[in-house]
Amino acid sequence: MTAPRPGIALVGCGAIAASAHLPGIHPSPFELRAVCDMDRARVERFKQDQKLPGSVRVCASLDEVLALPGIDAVSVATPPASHAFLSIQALDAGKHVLCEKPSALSSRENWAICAAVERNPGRTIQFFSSRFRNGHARAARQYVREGRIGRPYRAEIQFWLPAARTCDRGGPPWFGQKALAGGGPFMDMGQYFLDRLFYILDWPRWHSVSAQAFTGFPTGYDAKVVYDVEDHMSLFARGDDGLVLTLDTTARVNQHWRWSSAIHGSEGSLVLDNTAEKKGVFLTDRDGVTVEEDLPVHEPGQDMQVRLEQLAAFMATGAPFELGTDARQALAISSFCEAAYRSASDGTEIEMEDAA
Amino acid sequence: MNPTVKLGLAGCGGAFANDRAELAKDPAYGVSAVWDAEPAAAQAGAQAFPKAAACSSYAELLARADVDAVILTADASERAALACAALEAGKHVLCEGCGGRSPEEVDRILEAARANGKIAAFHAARLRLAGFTALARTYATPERLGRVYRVEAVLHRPARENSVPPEARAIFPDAGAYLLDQALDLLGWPKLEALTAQIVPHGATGEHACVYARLAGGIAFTLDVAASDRLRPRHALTILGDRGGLAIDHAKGGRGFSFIEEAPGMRAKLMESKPFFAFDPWGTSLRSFREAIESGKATEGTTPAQARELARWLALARASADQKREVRNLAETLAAV
Ligand SMILES: NC(=O)c1ccc[n+]([C@@H]2O[C@H](COP(=O)([O-])OP(=O)(O)OC[C@H]3O[C@@H](n4cnc5c(N)ncnc54)[C@H](O)[C@@H]3O)[C@@H](O)[C@H]2O)c1
Repeated sequence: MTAPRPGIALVGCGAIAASAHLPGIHPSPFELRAVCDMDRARVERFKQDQKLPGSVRVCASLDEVLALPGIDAVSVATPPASHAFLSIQALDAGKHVLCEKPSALSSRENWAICAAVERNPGRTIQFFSSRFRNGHARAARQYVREGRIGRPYRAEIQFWLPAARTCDRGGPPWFGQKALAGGGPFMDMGQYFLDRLFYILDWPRWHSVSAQAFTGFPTGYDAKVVYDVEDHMSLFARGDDGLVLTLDTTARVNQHWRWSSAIHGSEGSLVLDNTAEKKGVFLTDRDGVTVEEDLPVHEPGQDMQVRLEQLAAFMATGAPFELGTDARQALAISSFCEAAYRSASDGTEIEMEDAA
Repeated sequence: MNPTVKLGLAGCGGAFANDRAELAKDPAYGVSAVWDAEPAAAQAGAQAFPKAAACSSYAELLARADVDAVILTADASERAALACAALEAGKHVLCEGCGGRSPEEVDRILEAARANGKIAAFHAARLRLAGFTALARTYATPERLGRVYRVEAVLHRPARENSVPPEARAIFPDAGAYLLDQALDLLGWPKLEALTAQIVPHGATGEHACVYARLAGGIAFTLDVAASDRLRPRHALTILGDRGGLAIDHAKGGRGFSFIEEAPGMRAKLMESKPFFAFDPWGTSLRSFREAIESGKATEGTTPAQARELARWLALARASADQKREVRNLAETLAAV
């Protein structure tokens, strides 16, 4: 007799649940046992549209999910405003959690998530990251560790998409509402970039940030629909050992797209550029001549199926895994973002408290 | 034709190399004397001009009766003192960059010019006067850009082209001043409210500086200049507004000029795109300097007030980089040391 497969519930049955969560669950070691959405009609339709087996239970709240037997893990795909309370409730019920990004709305919520992890030993929460997109992050981290770029002094993040706000694409309006989304593209996509950069640099500490935000592009929404997130965020942050990070994130810009991160060190640079033919390179100089080397690609991939395989291994053997952002890392990212938003609204540099 | 302006050239480094060809072309100028702190450089510099003598000291150059005006491309750290000495010796001065590294240095130059009835002009407008900036100017209007909220000026060039001596590390004061001048001029010189900066030495002769500023009207401004063999060459100015955004990208393989505009359906639509084109670095500045000498007033290029403003940026950036914090007011910042 084979051991029963671990069970998972999918909470939040919107766009990303259908396009990324569900396709990854099917081939994974997990069996989908429940789907849940606060909108009951929606979750019923979801079950039907996705042709889920009759055994998959339909729930309209996490309480209902947690009352079911055989649920070992919960995959949270709701808007950010509910990430913290759903995750904490699931952890406290003894479940493992995979949760969409951004992890939460504020560092206060992230502290509460960290506390929930601590009081539930053996349980894990992983927030979705895109750290391993294109597969260069581990090699880049290794280059930094081995000192191949020398002392890193500057990092750059550039995420510019010309017309990719959710409102430009007819998506749900919560993406444009600070109370539900926490912020604009800086929260939504910026956190992916910060996660990858901080991972490569081994989670440096940040001391201060100067930021500016712009909101002002038309949304096409009715005037009654709240749209109060930034369209463009830019910042300059100072960290340990003189490290500086500059960043621009926008999903609405009248210029060509950019999608890159770079780390410059005293001996060389790492450039991860999605818009370039070579997506991951190391640059240095030999005798005054610039030399470029492709970064090796050796990563398992990034999708839901791999996350779930790693989670299953963790549940079976306690094997550590690093596919997502853990609670402490999410706190570091969230504190950083919070300070940046405060700097943008106060119009001055913000000193950061040490989140560690 | 006899030259109308007889020149002494002080400094035979990288800027000099750029300017030499322009000077040789302009019949209104004649180079009488050349000086550099490095005698060999002075000798080599003088050879570029048929009638020029190599001077062994700056005093010797200033003492010459056949020098009406001095073009100063010496190290940024020495420029203000050398400019004042020239003005006091009764010569007009064209300073490379914004002349000084602080507004006080620029003030000293201007005061010396006033006291001696001579012209002090500044050549920070190298990029501003270029053809592609003229094209950008036709788009840099409130009608086309709407509300400007983000500006980025980047120049990463190889350190091997950074011919200033290592101790000068002049990428920031010089190239930085050109980029700033170009961007601020296109924007109509908005007020600098605060900035934060990092300036780090890079390799043997390089430097990498990054300035992030808050400008009046809610404009976030980045200036990023580097001389390094470990970075990809970049040279671009980007100005983003809520109606349109322009970019001048003249790195090798860059996009050239592009202007992208809001289009119906909240799309961004490419309106104009031009490949890279070369520019005339010095001609306009030299013409303008000559006009100023002849008429007492320059018509184009960096004005004294603009040179002073550029120098304020440079000094604030230096102070911010040293103090590792965002700074607002230069006097207060320096008093806090
Ligand atoms: N759409 C994307 O391209 C994308 C990509 C990556 C990540 N994400 C992230 O995934 C999450 C969800 O995004 P989406 O685009 O699928 O949103 P969506 O609006 O399409 O779906 C969210 C669903 O969650 C449900 N919901 C809200 N609160 C709930 C609660 N308390 N309990 C149960 N259900 C609840 C909503 O009714 C809705 O059906 C967000 O954090 C988002 O940032 C989205």
